[in-house]
Amino acid sequence: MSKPVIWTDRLTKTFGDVTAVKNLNLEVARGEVFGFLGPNGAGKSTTIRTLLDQIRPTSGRAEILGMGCHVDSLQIRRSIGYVPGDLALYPKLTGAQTLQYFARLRGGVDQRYVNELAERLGADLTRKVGDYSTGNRQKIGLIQAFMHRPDLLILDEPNAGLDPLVQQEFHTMVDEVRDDGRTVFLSSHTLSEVERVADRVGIIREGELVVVERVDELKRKAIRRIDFEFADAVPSDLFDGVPGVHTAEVDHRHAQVSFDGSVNSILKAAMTREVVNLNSRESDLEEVFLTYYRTDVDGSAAREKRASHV
Amino acid sequence: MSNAVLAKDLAERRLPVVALGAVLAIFTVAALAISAGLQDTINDISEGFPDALNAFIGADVPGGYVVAEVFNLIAPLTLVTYAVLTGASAVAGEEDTGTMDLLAAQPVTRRAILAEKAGGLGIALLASVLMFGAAAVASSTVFGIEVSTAGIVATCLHLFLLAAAFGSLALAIGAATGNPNLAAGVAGVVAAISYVTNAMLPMAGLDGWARLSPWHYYAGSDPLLKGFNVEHPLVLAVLIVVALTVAFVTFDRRDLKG
Repeated sequence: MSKPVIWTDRLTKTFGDVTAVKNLNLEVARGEVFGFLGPNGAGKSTTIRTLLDQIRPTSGRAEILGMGCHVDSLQIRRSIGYVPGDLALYPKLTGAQTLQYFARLRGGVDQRYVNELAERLGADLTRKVGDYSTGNRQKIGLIQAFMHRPDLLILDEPNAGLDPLVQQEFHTMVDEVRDDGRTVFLSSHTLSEVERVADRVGIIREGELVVVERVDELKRKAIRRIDFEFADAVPSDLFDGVPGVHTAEVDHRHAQVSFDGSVNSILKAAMTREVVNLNSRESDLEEVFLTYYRTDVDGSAAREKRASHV
Repeated sequence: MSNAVLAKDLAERRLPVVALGAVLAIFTVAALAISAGLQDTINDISEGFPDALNAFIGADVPGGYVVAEVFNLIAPLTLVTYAVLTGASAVAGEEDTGTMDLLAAQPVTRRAILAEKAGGLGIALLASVLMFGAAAVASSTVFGIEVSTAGIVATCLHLFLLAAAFGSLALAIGAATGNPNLAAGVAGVVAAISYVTNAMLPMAGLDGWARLSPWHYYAGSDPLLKGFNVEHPLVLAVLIVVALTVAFVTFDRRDLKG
């Protein structure tokens, strides 16, 4: 079996008293799309910037493509495409000049492929970056990361400001990279951004990797919510004892149910009454986290966490 | 190495450097023209001043007070200010605006980034000094000011090294901290204090202490009158080497901001 593309061993980074990343053990295989999930400030960007040798670990080690992240950094960066989380470009350069600059830093790239990427994303290269919308600036960032067909793409919150059609094209580009046997490390704070493209996700919370799981497995475990509107008032114990239900708040004609697993039994329970409308909400990351707090941490911590996010 | 960073910096600096050089050149031509017309009057006035005051305002240089203003005040203050601001933002500015994140992720070493940034600063200063020097030589010839070309060339060399020294100091503080405001502030304060001490201490009879000021090594050997001096430019060159060494060592070791 070939070496992992990203490998970290007890990677730790502290800034003064604050531990941004703690004993992180990560392994991303070749040809994989790995989603790196966590709320803002959880340590995602710190991890990524350590991999890129922009910041140095306090302890622990990291390797990319089998090479040490510090000693072989130059060689590693030849094989990486990167979009920073807080992408900043040079406002006075046009999109085309920006891409030329980064192409020169890489010793030249295939200009036809750059044009093709620009066309696919619908990027405007003629105006100055300072006049761009966030979305267009992000497109330049993406082209810059993809244009030299790197072995590994490290994308930190790459979807910022992209409209849905462009996001779709971006997902297609990620799929192509995977089909090519290349690797994508995709960081995000929302599960919905990565669940379509990622094979596996790692969830980082307060600098620690809480779980690494296949996306389909994670979705199965995730708590989702469904809202019902009934024609008449329903009894408050309508969902009591229904398998999979975590909480049910019934208020006159409305009910909010959180559950995991199959939605079937909840629907059955609801349809004993006249349902006027129902609204299923996508499970968001916070709820996925809560799932893990319940299983990994004791209950009081989970409740505190939830209270602080209300 | 691709030198893309240097090429980009130079392209961005072209306009400001030409503007700076042009303003200095116009000032110089105007000052020397006035000086040529009023030389006798100004000399009469300054002859009535105490020697120490004449030394302070530089009225004892050839061409008198107005020429001294150009060489001792306007040109060095302008160039040192430009050098400090440019040096401070060269590396730290990219961290401050966030562009360093993407730049440092490219296959280019931190040392190469710093070397190209320092080179860009040096070339910008050189170009400004050359424009100033050319204007000074041309106008002193045209207006018949008694300043030798050799004196102007020597002064320009000293001027370049002075500006490069303060620029390197600002670059080093920026490279060590990633904070362009701190770099510009500290280097600017050092430049201002050392300017004042260099001008004031000799009047108080403390010539020895004035040697601690980099400004002493700009005009202390009177290059406009006496031409090239070996030791004084060497002192400034050593300052530059020390500052750049600190910049390379610290920038390579620390965490980049982002």
